[in-house]
Amino acid sequence: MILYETTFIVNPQSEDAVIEEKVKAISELILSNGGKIVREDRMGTRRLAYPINKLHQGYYATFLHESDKSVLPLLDRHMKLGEEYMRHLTIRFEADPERVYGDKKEDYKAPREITKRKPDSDSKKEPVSETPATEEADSLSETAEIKIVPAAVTETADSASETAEIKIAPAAVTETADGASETAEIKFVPAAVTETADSESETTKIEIVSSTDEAAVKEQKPADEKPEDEEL
Amino acid sequence: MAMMRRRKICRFCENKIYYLDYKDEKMLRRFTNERGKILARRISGNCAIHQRNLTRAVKRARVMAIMAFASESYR
Repeated sequence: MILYETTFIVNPQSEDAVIEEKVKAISELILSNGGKIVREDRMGTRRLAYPINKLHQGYYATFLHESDKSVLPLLDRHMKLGEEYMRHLTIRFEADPERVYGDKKEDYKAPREITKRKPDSDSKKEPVSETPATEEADSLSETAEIKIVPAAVTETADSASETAEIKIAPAAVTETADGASETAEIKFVPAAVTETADSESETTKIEIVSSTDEAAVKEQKPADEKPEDEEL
Repeated sequence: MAMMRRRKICRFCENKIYYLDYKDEKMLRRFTNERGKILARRISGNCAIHQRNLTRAVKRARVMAIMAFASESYR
């Protein structure tokens, strides 16, 4: 007696009683030939990965049974002749059924994301200020109701970092962005800009507070600041 | 940095899974690409034993219309 697993697909368009009958027929065939059904598993009607006989769905049923090998040709013959059976497959089952079907079902961990590492290592050099800033912008948008403002803030921060001669500057800018995200107040933003230009930042502050439409204006403003930075 | 590529560990060995069920579509999906091709060992990181078991499982799943032989757009 060997443990076998027989899975088959029944035409789902036939009536439920017919499906039931076809599934029963298999189990009876196993039992009548001295087999023992260890487990019955029905996946039910599910979508086929490809159409079989122009059908897109199939009723899946599985029997785990201990049988003599003489049963297998009978099963095979039965399912080949029966028109309701779309596919069938019997395999020798070499695993612990409990680990495949039961509660002890083997836990499969999702594969690690391999692609994740590369961009991280690359980003350390250059666009550090960009990626975290945008993330913080997202968090800002979640906490604060104003959505466009933080985006504009990051833009100014980026532009400032680009213009700033010292590379440490962007880090400082992002820190202030953190503070902004925590408090969700826009007033903190100019503090970052103060490194470049104090007077200008005050003017930008007011604009940021005022409305969302002036995001475009804000984008222009830092452009105005740039030449001054060069002077500084 | 780029030269230090750590060796991938077979995930089935890691989780002590020895039998790969061909009906577990979700699991098999992870080891095939969008076209339904089985990923190579060097990509999936599987050991020889498990890659062989996986291949068998995928092929069984294809027969039973659980997995596709080819993705829909190319059929």
